Amino acid sequence: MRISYILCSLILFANLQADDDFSDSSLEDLLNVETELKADIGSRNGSKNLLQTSAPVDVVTYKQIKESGLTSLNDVLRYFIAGFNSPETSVADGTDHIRVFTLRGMSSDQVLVLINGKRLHTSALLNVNGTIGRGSSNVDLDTIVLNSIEQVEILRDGAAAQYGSDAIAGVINIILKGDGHQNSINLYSGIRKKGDGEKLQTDIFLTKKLKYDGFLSTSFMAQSQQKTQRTGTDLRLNASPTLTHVGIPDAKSFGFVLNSEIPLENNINLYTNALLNYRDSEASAFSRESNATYPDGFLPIINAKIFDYSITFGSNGELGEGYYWDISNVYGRNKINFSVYDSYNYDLGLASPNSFDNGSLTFIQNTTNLDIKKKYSLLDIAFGAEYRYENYQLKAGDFASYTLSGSQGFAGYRPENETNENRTNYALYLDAIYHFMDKLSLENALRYEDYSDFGDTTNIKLLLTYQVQEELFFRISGSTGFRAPSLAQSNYSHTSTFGGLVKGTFKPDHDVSKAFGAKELQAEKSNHFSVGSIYHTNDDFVVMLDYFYTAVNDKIMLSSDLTATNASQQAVLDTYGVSEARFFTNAVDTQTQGIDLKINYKYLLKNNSTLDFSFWYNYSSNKVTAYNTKAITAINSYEQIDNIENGQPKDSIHLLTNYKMQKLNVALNLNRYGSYQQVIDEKAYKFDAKITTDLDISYQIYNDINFAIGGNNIFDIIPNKWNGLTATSQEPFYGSNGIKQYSRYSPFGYSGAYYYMRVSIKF
Amino acid sequence: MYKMILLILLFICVNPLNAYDKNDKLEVLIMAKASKYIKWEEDSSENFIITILNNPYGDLFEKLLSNKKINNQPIKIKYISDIDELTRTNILYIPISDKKKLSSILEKIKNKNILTVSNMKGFVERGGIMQIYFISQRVKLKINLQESINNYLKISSSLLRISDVSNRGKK
Repeated sequence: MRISYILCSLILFANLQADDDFSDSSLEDLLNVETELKADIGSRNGSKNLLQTSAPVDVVTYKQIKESGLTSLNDVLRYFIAGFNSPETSVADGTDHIRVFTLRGMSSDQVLVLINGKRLHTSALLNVNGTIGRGSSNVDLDTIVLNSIEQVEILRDGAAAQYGSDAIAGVINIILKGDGHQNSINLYSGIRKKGDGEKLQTDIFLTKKLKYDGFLSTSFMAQSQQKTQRTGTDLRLNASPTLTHVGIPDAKSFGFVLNSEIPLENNINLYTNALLNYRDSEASAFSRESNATYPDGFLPIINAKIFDYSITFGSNGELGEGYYWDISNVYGRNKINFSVYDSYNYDLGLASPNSFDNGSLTFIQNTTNLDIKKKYSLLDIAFGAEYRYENYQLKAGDFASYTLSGSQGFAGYRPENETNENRTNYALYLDAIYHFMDKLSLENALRYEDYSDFGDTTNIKLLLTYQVQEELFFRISGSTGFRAPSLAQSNYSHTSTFGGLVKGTFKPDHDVSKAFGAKELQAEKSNHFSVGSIYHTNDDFVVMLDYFYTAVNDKIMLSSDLTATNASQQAVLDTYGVSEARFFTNAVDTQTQGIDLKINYKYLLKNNSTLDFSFWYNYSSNKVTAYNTKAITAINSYEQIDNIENGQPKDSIHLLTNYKMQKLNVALNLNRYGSYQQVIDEKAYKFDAKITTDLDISYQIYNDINFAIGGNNIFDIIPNKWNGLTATSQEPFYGSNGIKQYSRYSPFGYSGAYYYMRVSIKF
Repeated sequence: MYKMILLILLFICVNPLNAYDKNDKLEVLIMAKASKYIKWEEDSSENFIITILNNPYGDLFEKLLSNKKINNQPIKIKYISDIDELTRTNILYIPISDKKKLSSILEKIKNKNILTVSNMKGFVERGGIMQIYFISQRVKLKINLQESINNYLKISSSLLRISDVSNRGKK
């Protein structure tokens, strides 16, 4: 009864609110009104007001990005989106150089990333170490120059029936700056409280208007990031005097973005965008102990040179009779060259070189797309087709990097690991929105895909929305989805030596994998349900509450290191000279559910100053509900299962505050990251929830010159160390007094407070 | 409990829907407010007429502009689906859906003392007079001064000051 009273009161209150018809406003006032925040994502039928989207959508604008003081898209999304996680890992080979990100605690390859609505390629890197995102490849978000971004749209709903593979946890759509921005240059400089991790960045945005409201915009960025060092004591008997590097890697990067739209005389638009990024990043492996040959030990440095680019060409226009068409082609390529220096191949003795070429990984994706859409009075319809080509290449390193025990720190890829595999797929899709009685809409998305490797799949999505009042909105959706096994998961292999054991990662169709029961990889299948509502008064006060549920069948995982349990398995391992083996398999079923509660409030103060509050609570629970193979069970893969269920915070809170008064802007944000845990040697260690604080104060010191100071995690909060795990009790690599004092799962890193200043000039 | 639910449902059903797009509202109002800074040739008609070609906004024009005046003339809204249906008007609103026909529409009303308004991209450069567009959560105005002169419309400097003015060349 009480709930019904509250609901009734809410509706009554909503109805009593004045309609913002602006009838009495002057023209000048109308031109200063902040218009609706809209997003293109979630529907093929044009941009939608965020207060009326059929599934939960969030938008981070270029203003918010700038006022956050952040220079990495991973950090921006971690800052603004509750439930977005992007740890800063260390001593994890390739994963140190390309950050993993997750949404709602799900796998990093279950998030689709788009640029201007078109699919962006993933990185060639497969995360094969014990990090968050183990076994997955994700898009390298740090390849995108922040100053080129107009807004980032985040769809928090399964959308594979609309966008195809990967859109299980959600979709991130990055919209590049178009018309209407001034040229600008930004200079950043920052340093950690401990005096390391210095970062310098310059970025420039240049734009030119073209005929018929067309534009040509370019962004350039150069960044230098120095490493942080947070290692503990090396308690090994023959510890090297050179300490293991545990912290953010040393990295230098350069980025370029082009975005252009060229309307032609005949009402046809041509458009193009290009992203280009080069990053040279260095991180260490564990330092090697002293021995007779190397009396001072040594610290192998793993160097990743990452070259990433994508180019889009497209055109759109009207066919007549209200039919709009759009045709495009996106080509993307990511290549990582690995090398190791300050290392040795023990088995080559004094003849060993100390720097190695360890091989390379390349991923290429080309997507051709045709969309057609039309609006009728009560029906919006969109349909289209897509053809995609993918290629994955692994090239071997030099002989010294892989022969025998290989280069210490990271053994090179061997000739037998080399691969060059292609895949194609085509898709046909149909989206339709039926508008009933103005208030009620039903959206239906249907998508058929046929992959050359694993076959076809058809997925459907239904969304129902009901606008009760202008202020009150309900939405409900259900869908099926899928994620195709990546070419990397199907074709990656590598052999390395660790602690004297020779371990191999084998393709699923390799004899070793088959001996352990591996089968050809199949697509992950998913089912989604979400229900939510939005209540708002004149956009100044908004409450959004959504419940979500996602079940994934046959999630692909990299098995644990398996040893032979029978003679035939041992014989196969012996044949290939390895003592442990692992491979990708459709391992488990998972279930994810939770809620998002968002409250935004904008308060207009005197002197036209404004105070914006945004509160966002996310709860996401991930469970493994079934095991589909003996290669991964709750017993033999406890660490991996716990990684899925408890490795990331189940809850997070962001409280974002922004005060704006004429030339002054102050952003103060509190972030609460819930507890999480990591398993070491079959035992789980829990890490406490923590609250971090970010502050940015900017002031317009001259017409087009803005100066800012600020900090992230300004009170220098660091995660607690391993509780009950000492480096001497388990192993020297982990522990409260060991080389790694903190968990690599920490959602806010462990490098501590970062302070910066920023100068922005418009011209 | 059931009575309460019934009450809520009843309330929902009898309450008219006001769920218009805020951007659409702004566009309509800005068109009307900006018109107050524009002078048409001497006109003895009773009403200020706004003609909407292929109306994209339902009853939004009526809702926001009925019982309002521009230059002391009561506003009258007319709807047409073909430019050949056009009769005397002060303003002609041309929606995005008529982009392909824009040049022929503008040709038909050339020099007829009509303010053309649209939110379509490139409208002003294609010969329209007033373009209303949205960038970074702000609404902007763009005016083709030469075309306004060609159509015998006098635009006040106050409006030009807050607009992006193109084609300032003299006839």
